[in-house]
Amino acid sequence: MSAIVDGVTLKDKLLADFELQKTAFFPDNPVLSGFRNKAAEAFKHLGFPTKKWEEYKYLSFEAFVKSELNHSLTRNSTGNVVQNELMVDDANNLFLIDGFYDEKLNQKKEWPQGVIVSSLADAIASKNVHALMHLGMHTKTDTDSFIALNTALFQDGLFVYVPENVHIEKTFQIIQSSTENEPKLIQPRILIVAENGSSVNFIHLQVSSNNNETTLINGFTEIVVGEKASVSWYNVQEVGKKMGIVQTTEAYLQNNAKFETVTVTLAGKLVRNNLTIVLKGTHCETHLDGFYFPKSGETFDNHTLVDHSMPHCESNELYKGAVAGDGTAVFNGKVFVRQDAQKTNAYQSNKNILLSEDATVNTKPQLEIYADDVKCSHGSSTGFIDSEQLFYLRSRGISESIAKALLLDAYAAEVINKIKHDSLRTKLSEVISGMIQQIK
Amino acid sequence: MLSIRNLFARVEEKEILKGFSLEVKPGEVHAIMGPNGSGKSTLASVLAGREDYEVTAGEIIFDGKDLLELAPEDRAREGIFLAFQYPVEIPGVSITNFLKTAINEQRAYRGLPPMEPKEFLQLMKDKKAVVEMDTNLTNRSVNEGFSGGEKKRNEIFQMAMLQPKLAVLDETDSGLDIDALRVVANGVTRLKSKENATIVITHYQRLLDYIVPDFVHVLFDGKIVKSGGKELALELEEKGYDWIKKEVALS
Ligand SMILES: Nc1ncnc2c1ncn2[C@@H]1O[C@H](COP(=O)(O)OP(=O)(O)OP(=O)(O)O)[C@@H](O)[C@H]1O
Ligand SMILES: [Mg+2]
Repeated sequence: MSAIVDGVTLKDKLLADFELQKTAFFPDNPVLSGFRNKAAEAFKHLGFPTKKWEEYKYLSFEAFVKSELNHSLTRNSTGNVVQNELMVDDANNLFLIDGFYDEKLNQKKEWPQGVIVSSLADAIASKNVHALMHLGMHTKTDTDSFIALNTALFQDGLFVYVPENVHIEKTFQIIQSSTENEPKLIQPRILIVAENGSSVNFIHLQVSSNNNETTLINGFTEIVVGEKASVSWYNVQEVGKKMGIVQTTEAYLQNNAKFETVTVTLAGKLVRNNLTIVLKGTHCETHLDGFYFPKSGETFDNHTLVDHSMPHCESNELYKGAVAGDGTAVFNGKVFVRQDAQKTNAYQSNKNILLSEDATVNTKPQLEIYADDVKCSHGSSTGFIDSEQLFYLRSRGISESIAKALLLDAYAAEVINKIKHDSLRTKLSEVISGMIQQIK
Repeated sequence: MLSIRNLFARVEEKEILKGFSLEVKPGEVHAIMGPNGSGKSTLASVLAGREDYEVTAGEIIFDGKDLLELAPEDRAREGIFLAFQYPVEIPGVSITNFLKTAINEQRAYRGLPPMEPKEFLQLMKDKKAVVEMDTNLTNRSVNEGFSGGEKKRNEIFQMAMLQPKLAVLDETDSGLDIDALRVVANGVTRLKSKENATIVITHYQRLLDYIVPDFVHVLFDGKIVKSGGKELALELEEKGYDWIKKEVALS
């Protein structure tokens, strides 16, 4: 846990960390150590992305890579309750503090028969078959720096297993928070397995209880959605002004599975979301929506990939952003419709509103279709607030600032209203409304 | 109440109003007619304060205030209302929220506290009755997916809610079926009083059978070229604008 010495890069330091702990971390699990070794090799080869990389060309990780980030290696339970304006109070809370599952904060609950909710490290240590069967088994660990880094070095995270035909009514609220005081690299790993016919809903809240360090969160979440299973995943991000998040989320859908996700990014210096949804079965349905609101000094980048590889699946994507001050938004949405994916319905839309002359948007929708019997569309737009609408409201006596707020609230609501958790939806609307009113 | 003197206005370098003058007193109804493109909607936009239009000369005094100095919202708060020829759709903003905000903003300007929710709901109910507006319509977003006629009816509903001193109705009759026309026109008539005034922009005499004007003006090429009583509208309906164009050419 030492700070970086001059001349030693963060990459070197992380690889040294890996060498140090690889014998200590689950040495008796050859499969796991095998793919960790492979991931470490990949990270050694790839390093951190630079702006020369096509996939990361609008992002600079320099502030993080140069800073004296400590790799968060130890379980450091605080027992202190985290508070954030966006937390709902009608969910089962699961706290991850600095990437570690916090036993003290997570009250033990009675789950339905066979449901597992535990620390990921514990699940691995106890050789849980479901965890070991899926962890890292569906993803590619050698092409993306952050997946490789997380895979090589993650220490803990969360494991949730929902057995066949079990329906969990009450939403899980995963609160991912970081402690203050020193810059850290936090690498939570989450594995969700929803077996055939089951259903479960999550709120994934990335917050930072006043942490204003150049902390970087490199989270990786894998979600396995079994046949006829249904999972919703609401990812809400609001972290400190100097903090960064790289959040990779991958969902793998079997036949007739349903996966709905909404990503809302409200604060942070740099937030990059890599969302990949792989439709591995037929008759799958997925909805992926997002709202991002970068303000001065903030860059929010959403990369999404929907991979249609089987017939009769449907995907619907709506990402909307409002960019204020000198903020930057990036949207890159890939939809692949592979040759076998006949009868696919795939829709994608990206809309951006610039709230200042200094705001920047880079948007790139990419639809690649190799099947011939499909219904697909995509579109993107970037512009200022509609002046006709603004004038109409003002002509009724509504001040310019309130008129703008009304229009922006409505604009955001199109995405926020996709959230089916009532109290989260209400809280988000209020917080976004408050942010809008603070924009000059 | 309203005094427009020698107004020149342009949009994108194009001169549209070229010496327009008009006096409106409380209680009066003025009809403005004129061929397409003569500048009627431009006049309405300039009155409401649309920023795309640049006033290059002339003045507009409303209740003693220099209207051109005021932002659009302040003009509305002073009592000017424009029923748009093409009302815009505002997805996601409910009519109720929109009108509540507008009314309370106008009240704040006049030093009044926000309207009690109960009073507001009652007002909504009363005014919906005046324009025979479907309840379902007010639960929807402003004009979103409304038919042409519904949009026009919604304009008059808003006028009824906001109770302006001066209403400018820009072709509110176009796109209305005969029943809707009667309802809308009766609504306007019922809202008339000694204190408020109405400027009706229209192409058709038909509307003026219901909203009987005190004056009819013909706008041509950016200014009023002929004014008269309500019989002028009948004459225009019969003969078109050619004879006026000839008169203008001769003089
Ligand atoms: N924003 C604009 N940009 C360019 N030209 C404009 C703009 N607004 C109006 N004009 C032009 O100004 C002229 C007057 O338009 P205006 O809408 O005032 O006419 P009008 O009398 O209301 O016509 P109509 O009876 O068709 O409604 C037209 O030639 C129109 O094309
Ligand atoms: Mg017009």
